[in-house]
Amino acid sequence: MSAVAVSIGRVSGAMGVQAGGVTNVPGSAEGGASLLPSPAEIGGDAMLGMYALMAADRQAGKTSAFARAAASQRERKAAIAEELKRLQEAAKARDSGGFWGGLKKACSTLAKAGLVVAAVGSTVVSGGLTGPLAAVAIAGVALSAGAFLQGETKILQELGVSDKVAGWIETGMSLGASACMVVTTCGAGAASGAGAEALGQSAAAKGASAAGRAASNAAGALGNAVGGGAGVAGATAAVGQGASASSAVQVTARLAASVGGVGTMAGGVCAIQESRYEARATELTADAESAHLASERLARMLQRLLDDLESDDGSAERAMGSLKEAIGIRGNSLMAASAVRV
Amino acid sequence: MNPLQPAVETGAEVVEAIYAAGHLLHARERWADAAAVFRLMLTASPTDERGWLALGDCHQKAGQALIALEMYGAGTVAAAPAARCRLARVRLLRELGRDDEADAWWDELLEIAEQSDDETTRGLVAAESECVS
Repeated sequence: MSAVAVSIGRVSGAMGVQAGGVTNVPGSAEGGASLLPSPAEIGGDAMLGMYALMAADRQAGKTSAFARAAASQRERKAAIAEELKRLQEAAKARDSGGFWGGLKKACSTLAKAGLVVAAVGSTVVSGGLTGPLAAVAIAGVALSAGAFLQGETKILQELGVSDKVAGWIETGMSLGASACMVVTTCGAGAASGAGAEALGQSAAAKGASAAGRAASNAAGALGNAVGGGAGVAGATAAVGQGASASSAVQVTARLAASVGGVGTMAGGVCAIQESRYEARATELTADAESAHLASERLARMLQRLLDDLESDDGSAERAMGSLKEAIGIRGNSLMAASAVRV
Repeated sequence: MNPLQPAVETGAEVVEAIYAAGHLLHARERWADAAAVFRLMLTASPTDERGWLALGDCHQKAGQALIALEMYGAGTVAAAPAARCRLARVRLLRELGRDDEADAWWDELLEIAEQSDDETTRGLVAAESECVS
């Protein structure tokens, strides 16, 4: 895949924005505003602190968050067991006509996919962080490291996206998590049947069928597994607590937008009717036992990725080496500037 | 408990120093090195939008557009509302020819800007909007 140039360069001022050239649509890369803020002035204390961080990192042998996440097999198993319990409880609640019972089929598929992958979210979280957002962060860092280590296409394949599909779809991590976090945040007041129905209709209008399939497909990928799963699990719990119709409507609109995004994102996938993905979708819409199996598969996939990264990457070493070098470059620049001033 | 409790405890100044180092490497177009530094930064401060934005840009410059999309997207979740990450995602989606998605993300960004009191966010969106006219 060829590089796509987008103007995210240095700007003046800590959070300055440079006006770009004239384009036809917002977000056009050509001439768009630069986005990456310049760093603030760094004092000596910060440099010392960074050295201390580097030293502590070496001493502790803790190279990175994802490496640490891979370290505790027992904690992960316990977390998965706990999540499975929650999963089964959620499935029971669903079967008894809870919130999810009112959703359209595609939305239900999306929800179940989220439930399935919740266990994987906890797998990562056990590395010292908690919550779905932390899982998103760790997964993102791991995904980044893997992509630089193995290449984009290969890492996507590694995460369960076929080579045919790799060019069409990303993992959906952030989108899935976004949709779920919206519900988690607002979900305390979202439990009415009307809300559920509205959610189904809105999502359907936004292409929920595609979203459901996309979620099923993307559930095989690390990102969605981690980000979306925990979020939906949290949402399930949240929606069972409150009863505010207005909040439900809010949630509906925002979730529908997010779901629509997922569906649109996976437009290419929808065009590719591969049997393996259909099979995966079926798997993900099965009962809690199937969900358990799927979550284990995803956990293994995640574990393999983490192990690979831990053994092969050297990402932390690279970061440290780069940091040292950057510090040296910066120091020389400051010295040169001082000399000029003198 | 803070769900985004940093994996590596550091002060804000240290995070800033790491960002500065990554930024310097980024400016020298050493994408892989810069990315490694930004990843380190994100383990220390996952809610810092700049880290996700810069990491995404490194991937983008390295020709990994789909991974870049993920990084921008992760930024919108971990560092919400993350207007810059959203805008970067809009631009990249546009480049990839995924205009419908770009439109949806742009609409969300407009809504965020309208509801935001943050001048930077509003300015960012206003500057981008001017590109249309």
